[in-house]
Amino acid sequence: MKKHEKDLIDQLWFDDHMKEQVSRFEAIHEPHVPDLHAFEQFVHEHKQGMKRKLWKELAIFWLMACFVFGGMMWVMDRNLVWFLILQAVIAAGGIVFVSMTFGKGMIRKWKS
Amino acid sequence: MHDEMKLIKQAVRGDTRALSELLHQHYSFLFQYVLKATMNKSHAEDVTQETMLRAIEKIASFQGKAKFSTWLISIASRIIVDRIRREEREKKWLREEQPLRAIRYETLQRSDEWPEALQALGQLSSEARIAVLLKYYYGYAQEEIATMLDIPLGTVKSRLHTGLKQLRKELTEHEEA
Repeated sequence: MKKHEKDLIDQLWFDDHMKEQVSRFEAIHEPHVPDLHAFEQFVHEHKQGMKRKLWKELAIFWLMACFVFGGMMWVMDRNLVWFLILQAVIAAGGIVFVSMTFGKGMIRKWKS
Repeated sequence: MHDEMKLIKQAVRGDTRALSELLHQHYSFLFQYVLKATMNKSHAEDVTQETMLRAIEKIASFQGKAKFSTWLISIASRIIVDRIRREEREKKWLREEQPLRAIRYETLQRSDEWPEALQALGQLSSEARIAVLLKYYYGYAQEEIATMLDIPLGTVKSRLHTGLKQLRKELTEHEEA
């Protein structure tokens, strides 16, 4: 049997045996839809929350960046060899992280 | 349709009112999809709300390649699947059988009937039920379902095959009894 024919038969079976009952179920459970104003408030509040979260994350990022930068400057000032070793370790870690994160995605894309 | 495109463009640019209107227009459609996909009213309410929150967060990245309703269904389906994975370790009976009884009770109170078709649909795994509903009730192509759920095409085919086979079996057994 061709794929298209099988699809058609399956669709017809679903239409005959299921569709009407599922549509009736849907009609029975018609939800109460809040008015537009309630949606506006919902969207507005969530956007405000997102903004607050973004600023908070940005502040933490800058704080961490200052801390890391200050630390690296301190290490460089104390011992240049250790500074270079740390730089190499961080770079290697970054490369491994990026390849693991994006590598998985590429394999998945390639498979599908 | 033209109005919807206009609203989408405004919403993507950050217009709160346009996005609110889009969500208002699609609320009922979204809730009913989630209710059918979960067969669990309290989950349906939670997932609908979570879907709307994600839509607000991601609207700027919506490219308009698919319909807005398709985009919402796609977000909702992934939320449902994530929840299933989280709950997989817990007892299935507690998670699936009790809500199905609850929705059956509520449906019976409102309409005096609980057809075998709904019982069979409720007994499918959520993953198979989502695939069957998207293909045969909403009319999406298998490739579209794979994209919406972010799963390989072969998995969609397998879920459709298993789901429909189980539905046929349940309904045939009922007719014979």
